[in-house]
Amino acid sequence: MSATAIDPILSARGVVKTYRTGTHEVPALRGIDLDIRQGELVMVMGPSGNGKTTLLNCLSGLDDIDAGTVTMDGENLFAMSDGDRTRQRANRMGFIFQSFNLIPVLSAAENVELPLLVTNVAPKIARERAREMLARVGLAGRANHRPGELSGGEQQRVAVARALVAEPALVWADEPTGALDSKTAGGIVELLREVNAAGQTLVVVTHDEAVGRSGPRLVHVSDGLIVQDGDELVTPDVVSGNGMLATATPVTA
Amino acid sequence: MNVIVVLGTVALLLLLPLIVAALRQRTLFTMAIRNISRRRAEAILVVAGALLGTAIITSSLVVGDVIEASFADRARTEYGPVDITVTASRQADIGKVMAQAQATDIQAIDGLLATTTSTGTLEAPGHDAAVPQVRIVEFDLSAAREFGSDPQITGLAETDVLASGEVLLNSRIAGELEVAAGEPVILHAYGSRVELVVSDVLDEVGLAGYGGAIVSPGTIEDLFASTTLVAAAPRDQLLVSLDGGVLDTRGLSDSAVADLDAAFASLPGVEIEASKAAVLDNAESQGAGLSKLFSTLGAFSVLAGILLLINLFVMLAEERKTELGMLRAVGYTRRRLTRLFAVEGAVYAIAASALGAVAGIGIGWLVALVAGSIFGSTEQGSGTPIVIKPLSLAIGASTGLVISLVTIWVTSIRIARLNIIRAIKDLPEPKVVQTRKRTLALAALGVVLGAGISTAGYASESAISLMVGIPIAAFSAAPLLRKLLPERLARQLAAGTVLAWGLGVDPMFPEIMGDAEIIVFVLRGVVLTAGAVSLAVSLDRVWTFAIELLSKGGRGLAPRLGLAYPLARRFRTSMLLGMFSLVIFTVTILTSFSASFGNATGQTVEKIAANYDIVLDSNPANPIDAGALVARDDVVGVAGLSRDVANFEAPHLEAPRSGPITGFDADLLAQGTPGLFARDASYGDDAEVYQAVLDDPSLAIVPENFLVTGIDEAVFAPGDKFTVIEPGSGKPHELTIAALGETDWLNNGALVSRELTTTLFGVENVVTRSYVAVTDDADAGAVASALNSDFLVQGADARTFTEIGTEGQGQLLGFLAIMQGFLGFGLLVGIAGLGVVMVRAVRERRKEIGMLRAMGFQKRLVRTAMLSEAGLITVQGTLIGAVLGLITTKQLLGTNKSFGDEPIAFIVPWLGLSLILALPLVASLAATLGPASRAAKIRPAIALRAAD
Repeated sequence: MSATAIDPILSARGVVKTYRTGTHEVPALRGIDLDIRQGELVMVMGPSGNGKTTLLNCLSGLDDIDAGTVTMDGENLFAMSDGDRTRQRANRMGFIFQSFNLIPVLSAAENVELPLLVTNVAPKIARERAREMLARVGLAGRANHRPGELSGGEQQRVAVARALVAEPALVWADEPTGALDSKTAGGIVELLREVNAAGQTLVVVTHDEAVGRSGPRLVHVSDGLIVQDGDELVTPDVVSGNGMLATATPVTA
Repeated sequence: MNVIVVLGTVALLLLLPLIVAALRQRTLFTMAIRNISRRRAEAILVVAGALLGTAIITSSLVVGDVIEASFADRARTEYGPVDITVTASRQADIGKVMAQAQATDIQAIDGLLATTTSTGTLEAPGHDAAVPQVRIVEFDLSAAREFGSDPQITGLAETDVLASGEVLLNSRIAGELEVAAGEPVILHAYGSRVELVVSDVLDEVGLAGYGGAIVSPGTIEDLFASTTLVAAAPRDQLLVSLDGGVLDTRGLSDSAVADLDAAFASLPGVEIEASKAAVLDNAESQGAGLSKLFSTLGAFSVLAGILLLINLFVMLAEERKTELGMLRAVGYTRRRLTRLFAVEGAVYAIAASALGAVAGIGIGWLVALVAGSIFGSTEQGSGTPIVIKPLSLAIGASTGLVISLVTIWVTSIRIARLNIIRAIKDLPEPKVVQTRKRTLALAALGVVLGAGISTAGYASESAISLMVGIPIAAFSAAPLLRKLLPERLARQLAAGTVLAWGLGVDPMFPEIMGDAEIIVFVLRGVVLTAGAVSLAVSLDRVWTFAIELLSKGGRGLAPRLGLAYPLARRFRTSMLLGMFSLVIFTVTILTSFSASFGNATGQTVEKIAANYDIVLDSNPANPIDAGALVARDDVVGVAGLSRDVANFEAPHLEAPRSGPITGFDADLLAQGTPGLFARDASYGDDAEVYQAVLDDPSLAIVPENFLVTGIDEAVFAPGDKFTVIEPGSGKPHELTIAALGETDWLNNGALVSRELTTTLFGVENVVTRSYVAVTDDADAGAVASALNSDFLVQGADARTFTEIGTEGQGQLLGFLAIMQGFLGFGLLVGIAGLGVVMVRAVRERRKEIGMLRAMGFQKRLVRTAMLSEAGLITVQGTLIGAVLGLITTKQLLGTNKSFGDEPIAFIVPWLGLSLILALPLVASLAATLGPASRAAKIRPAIALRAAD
């Protein structure tokens, strides 16, 4: 299914995030505008330390912002209380991280069913759906194994299953292949593409060129700004060799 | 002193390698110190948890020291310079005794004082007050002031001459009479009375404590000369002071007594008693006994403290796993890594032992303060001084230090055996699939050894060996069983065997276990809790099922998450469960004992009273006429008992010891038969025993703690023999114990026929105690008050049996309550342990909590999950301890011979049990609230960023 040109499911305008440590201020995001539409696979790339993960954290509501708006389903995430924002994440978002972040004392099935349990799905149904999702990611036979008994690739598949099981509107993936070897990483990327092909909206943050350029939409973040968004290219001379901008003027092609 | 030398040596051996390592490798020391300062709050928690064990050990010793000092203070307040009393019977001439003592010129003696003593009733007519039985003494006051080496300890240093018609009172007696100097009092004795004026009120010290009232020479003799009563005559005594002060003459006492004995060999009717030595020996025994009791029961808390230490250091290691792995990777040997960790641990241990010793002083003094009032050590002007004996502090601190250091060393050695790659990557250790051959060999050896120990224990009737052997074998068998059975089943089988043995060894071997010492009780507790805890952590399916039942209601997510970590981390969970269950086990037993004994009070009183209602004591110098009692309208029966004090010899005694002896006649059995604790098998019932004693003056009934000092264990059983020495002639009379009597609240001592006491004491064997039965419609309490009033002059002191029983049982119950409070400190260990575990859990699970929050878990759910975890552990631990405690109490009351031939009914203390279960839960949840709230406030982005 291809992306449809309808209202975006998530829209960010003028998002600013500055980290303050003592007297130092580090502007991590300096005015992000971004729309995510249903069914899109958005790859977010950029040099290390330039705001990719911060962008994911802020737009997903995991972290606060200093200015701007992030609207999902017509509601500004940062006009909500923390509880409502948390509920929004539970109901509408899924997450995949580089170091899998599975709960080590729960089995694969128990990890996958967590997002369903938190949205009050009956335990029996949650368990069934968890097993189905594990089968979908190719881990039907590993449902009762704990993360410590799984390989890195298997753990990331469990994380993918967990992110998808509640059928979220949007899945955020932060360096999902960062901790994996190239072959395993390829498997994960393929899995994400399959999932997207089935209609799941994905935003993937990655520093891996091969992974990034394999997506239909590439958003390039540099120095806290989006300098490329799909077909929108930043003026080449603005981008210096190390990814630092002299100016921050996006140019629409 | 040997103990401190051994402890000090062991501590030095454990510290020396660390000191050397720290000096030679400064980096090691720097890392250790920086690790401590990096996490100050945790360091404080570690020290706080570690110091509890030292505090409990030190406080046990301090309790003993304070109680000993408190009892020993009676030497100052009741004796002062008086070390030995030489009592001359009426046949002996005190003048000749004095002359002989002076002529013998014993080196150790620095003072001799002739006195006459008697007992009288003092009345304050202006204040409507009286004191029934006061020791009246008369001596030459100027000679008394110079008696001994230090006038200050006589208590008479500031007094003037005592004229005829005057009396010196000590502050306690004056207080009871509410009189001051210059006021009149009346002395009643020998059927006569004399009016006296209070010359001065003295501090209850020395000779002023020896005698409650001091009169001028001749006062007592004048009263006695005019009497027609059959009464105990005044006693001429020679008071002997040994060279030294109040407390430092003990070492001279035995030889001085022997010298005096030799000096008076040619003088009949002379009794020598090392009175002050008996007080000091009793004080030492009381103190030592209490120290032993508190430290034995406190062992549970100390064990809990060890478990806490292990838990703490394993968790510290897990936190540093990555850096420890890196150190191994860059070339640190295992040995160096061990020392790195042990150096840090040693700093904690040293701080904890020092602080623990200080805390132990306060705890011990508080416990002694309460215990002293129960044991009566605070009577007679003695207080509860704060006593800090450097030796006790040193033993407490060094014991705590050694325990901590051993734990640290063992844990550090274990930690240093980490796999480098897994440590660096912070990967979990894999499950051991193949058990090493060496482990199997050791396991087999453990099985054989354990079985052998129990077998040897059975053969030699040793309760300790019998108890511990099978559990050693069972736990050793676990690796072998894993070869044959699934792992979970193997663990359950081993743990179940241990638990079953702990519960079953008593009923299976009552003859061996029924007479066991208190240390066996401690071992039983350890065995039971080890088995139960091991079984509990392997029954995870049961818990999972329970939680799934909860989940059906839709409210189970928080407890499911809360249960996940304890089930997964079996070692840590076992440590926590062990901490709680060990202490709760003991507290439950004490609470159950308290309820059961309390319930049995009425039963015990009935047994002792034998249908009499009142015990009436009177002045031996002015005894109550039995006829006057019988003639009363409110009295239906009177049994007269003649009480006195004699010297006894027994196989367990190094020297003769004085004690009470009471003669009875057939009247005692007129209303019923007093119940017995245990009788010789040759007697069919208790009545038969009493009749036999009446008929045969070579038989006696003695209380279980007869001729036992302080709280030493009882030594006599029916059929044993001892000797009573006839005063005056010194003739020994061997007696056989026909039975053991019930608790001797009345201090009757050896109960024998009146025939024997008349033989021993002659005409002075007067009835000084009467059991009185009142009419059905009379109130025993009211009659007792009337008797006190009507027979004031005779020094009447009447109390009902119920009152005596309640007071006596109250002492026991009060003591049990103190023990419970003392053990309650051990609960702090469990709660501290849980608090530390939860604090560390928040740090360890930071990224997982961040992930849960990212997924949409509300703050409340995270907080509830952590509180559920703490609550589940606490409930499990307290339930295990409480259930095992109840079962053990029931067994002990039913089979242990210490409680007599008739078992005491087991009462479940529902209220106490509710508190035992509720208080730890509330405290644990309170301790976990902080960490749980911090967990809930974890910001997902920061936690996850830190993770990646």
